[in-house]
Amino acid sequence: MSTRVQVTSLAHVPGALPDGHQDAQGLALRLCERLSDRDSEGANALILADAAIDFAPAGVCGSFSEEGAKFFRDLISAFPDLRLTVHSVVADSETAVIEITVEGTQGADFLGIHNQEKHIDVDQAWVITAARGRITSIRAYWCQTQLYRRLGVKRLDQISITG
Amino acid sequence: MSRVNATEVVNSFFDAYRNHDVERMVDLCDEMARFRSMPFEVWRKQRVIRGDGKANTVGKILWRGLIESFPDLTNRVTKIISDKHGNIAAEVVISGTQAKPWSSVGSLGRSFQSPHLFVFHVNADGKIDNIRSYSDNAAVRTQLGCLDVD
Repeated sequence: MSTRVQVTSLAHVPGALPDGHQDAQGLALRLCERLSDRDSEGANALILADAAIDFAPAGVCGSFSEEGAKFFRDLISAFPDLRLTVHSVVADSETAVIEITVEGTQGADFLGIHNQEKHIDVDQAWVITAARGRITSIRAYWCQTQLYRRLGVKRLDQISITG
Repeated sequence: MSRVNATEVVNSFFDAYRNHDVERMVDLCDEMARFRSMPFEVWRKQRVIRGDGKANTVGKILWRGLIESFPDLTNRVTKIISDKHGNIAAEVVISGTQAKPWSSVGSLGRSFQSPHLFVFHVNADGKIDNIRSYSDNAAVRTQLGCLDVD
């Protein structure tokens, strides 16, 4: 079985594309800013309603309008001091891979995990694609065990029981 | 180095991983290449041990451990993104069937399949000098039948 993959386009200057639209990198950075600003409406405006959302560690997969928007809303309300710090970006015109740390102190239940006012700091990588100035997909990678550990969850099949 | 060559280096790395050729994986890396497995952390009473170090030390140990516990370990590269500075992001599905204990996970003979995201940097000599990997250990542990968080 071949494992060679198609190489995406070559050198690319991030920012605005020739057609004036924001590219994937610009949109990815703006999304992080808006989430850190607790601006869910502003974040939503960057993403197509039918964008494919894959936050598999949280069990959230589907269209942005059906799954992603609620996930961001819940994240913002559960962590009132939410902060996303971008460490690196690998990007071409259509795709940006951002490495980030998501930090915050729990202030409400999140993904079925009871609030114990614990702090999270979870390193993540998001693969974001864009077209015509809007985000068309987000696929996120992180370790849910790290999130559970920080929020006091002891068993993967009983996440509502914390200690 | 050209972007295409950097991508070839990364593809060769996963070819070697698929062939369980850890020495070749390390040969593709600079002697001082940094390695970090983001999901790897062990919480002790006094400190947290992380999968953070050099490719030829920590990386080698983790790769060998996986191959030993999952003798049919394999990988499938699904997407590569790269820039002109030698940065490569690779989405890779790693899978295998457990034959021996792996970390704190005893073997029930079950299989796992886990999407990973690797971020590499390939230097001007065509050597990998930085590797960071992201994946979800909760999903792997669940598939292997281990439901304890620690």
